[in-house]
Amino acid sequence: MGTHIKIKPYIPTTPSEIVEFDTTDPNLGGTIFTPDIQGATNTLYISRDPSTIGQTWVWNTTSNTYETYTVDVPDSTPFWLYGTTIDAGSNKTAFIQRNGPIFINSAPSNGSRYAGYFYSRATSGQGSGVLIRKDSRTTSGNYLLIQGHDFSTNISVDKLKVDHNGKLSINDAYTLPNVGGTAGQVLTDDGAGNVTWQSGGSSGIFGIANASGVYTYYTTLTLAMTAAVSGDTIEIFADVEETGSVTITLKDGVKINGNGHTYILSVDDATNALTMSSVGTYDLYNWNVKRTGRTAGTTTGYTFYSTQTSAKINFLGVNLENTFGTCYYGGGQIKNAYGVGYLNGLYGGTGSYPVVHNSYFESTTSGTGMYVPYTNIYNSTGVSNSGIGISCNGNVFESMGISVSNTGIQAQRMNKCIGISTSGKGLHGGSRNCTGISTSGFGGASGDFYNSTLISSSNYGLSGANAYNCSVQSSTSIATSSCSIYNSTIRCLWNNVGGHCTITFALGLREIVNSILEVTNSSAYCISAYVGSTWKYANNSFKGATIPINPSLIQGITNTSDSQGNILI
Amino acid sequence: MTEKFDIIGDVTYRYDSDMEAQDSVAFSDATFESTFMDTQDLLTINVSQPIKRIMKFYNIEMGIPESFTELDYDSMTAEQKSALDNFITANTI
Repeated sequence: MGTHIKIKPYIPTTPSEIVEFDTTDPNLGGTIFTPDIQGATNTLYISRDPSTIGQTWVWNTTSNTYETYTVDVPDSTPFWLYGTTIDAGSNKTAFIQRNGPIFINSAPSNGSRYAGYFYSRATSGQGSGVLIRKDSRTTSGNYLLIQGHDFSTNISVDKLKVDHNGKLSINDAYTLPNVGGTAGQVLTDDGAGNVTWQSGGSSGIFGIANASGVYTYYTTLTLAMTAAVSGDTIEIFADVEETGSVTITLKDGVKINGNGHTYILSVDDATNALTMSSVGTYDLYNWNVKRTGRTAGTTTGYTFYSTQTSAKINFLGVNLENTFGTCYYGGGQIKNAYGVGYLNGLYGGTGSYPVVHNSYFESTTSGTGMYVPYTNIYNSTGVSNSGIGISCNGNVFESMGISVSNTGIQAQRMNKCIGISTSGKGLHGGSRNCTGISTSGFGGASGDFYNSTLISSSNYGLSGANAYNCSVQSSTSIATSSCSIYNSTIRCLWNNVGGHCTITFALGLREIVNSILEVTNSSAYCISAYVGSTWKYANNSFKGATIPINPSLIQGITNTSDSQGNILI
Repeated sequence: MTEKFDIIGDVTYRYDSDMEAQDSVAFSDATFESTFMDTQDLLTINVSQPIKRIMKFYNIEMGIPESFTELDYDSMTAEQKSALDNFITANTI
């Protein structure tokens, strides 16, 4: 067996300790060493004086002086001592650096699944951490990246990435914002991986669902309305009472579903609970909106305020209430509303006018149940205590007006309407196919009445009007006052000598033609008038009267019928 | 000038000869109340048209009373006339 001689290869060594000094020469008096290690072997002294920065020195134990120290720099050095271009060589403890990437490649084995890891552990009372820093003179390509790669598919995925704006992306699936949110905000994904801060939380009173049915919640209706866009539905999940001056301005195309809950605005100022100020379509569902908090009789502070005539407002299952003033003020194409106000139910304001469909409005006191200037009312009901049930300077179709002590319906034209009053007038104005009923007031008054029924228990069935094809009746008073009557049936059920079918209180021409007039008391007249009056009456049928025409009445018809029976009256 | 008084509950409603509402005031006339009033829904005083009288209506539904009573002034007792006249005098506007 031969002898093997092991030859230890030359391995250049370099000082392992680094000390910096502040002069051009460490031998100079007053030089400050950091750390303060002087005259040590295996130590590299580095100048930090601006004129000699980076120049290196070592301690010569023979001369007991510092000498400059220079080593050859290889063409390609893996690592340098930190802050120098000196090859770290075999130095395993110094603070080292290199320019260029570091690639760690290691096959996992025996439970080790890491190619490598950074580890920093603090001693007691000290901080610890791992710093990864990316420097760049430009920002666009400046990011930190942890990437995963699948050998089988040769596909790389950015598992974690921080871009130059500081936005963190995870698994190339979603990106988090680079700023914090405000109080109460939550992170919301738009479905494309863009995550942003949004007001709301995982639950709340007001919610807006996205296309997937996922809700974003809001703490106030104001915030929800601010966030909503056309097509959204704001859903309400609890009763709410606002005590500040909060007005909710509705947005075109934004629906509100109250889910049966109540929204109350209680504040003693002129704030309106809901407002609508632009043309559009507004749908409200299944919701109670109440305006309260002011002295009864106060005129401002509406439950619903609108400045638009042509905007469409659809109330489905919505109850509007105002405990001190007017419930709905202003214009709009109103459908299916239900509103009750202390003063007025609906008051069509100045400058914008409502058109009402299938709605109910009520005044609980002396205001108007429904006041609509110039426009129309369809299939609706207006109710008032001592005000007018429905007041309309336009047309009212298939509607009902009810008042305790005032007029049921007062309108320019009514068609298929019913006006009811306890002590006021049932109907006031021209009507077709209508019914007016009053207990102690007129059944109807003023205008031309066609195909209508007018009834009073203790007053005139019809007063100051023209009746065409009508049925008029009074139970305990004269049936008509100051009326012309054509093709109608007039009945006075009052068993009193004064229980006439007609009467006037001043001279004036009236016409009674082709009608049936019936009295209950035989001493009463079917046709009676102010003494000395001239009336035209012809082709009538009288019932119940001994003398049907008041003898003081003068016949105003002077023509006679032609051979065909026609007569000019 | 007031031609008709309607008393509903504790409110008096006043109307002129055209049956236009004049106003409403709280009803407070103990003598009148004890003399005429009972359980009626509506008590109507006609000052002159069609005659001077008191009408009382019961169970009014949709403007139609189930029943009513009529008391003409001429049929009233002296006490009733006095109570009615005093009420009209005190409340006419």
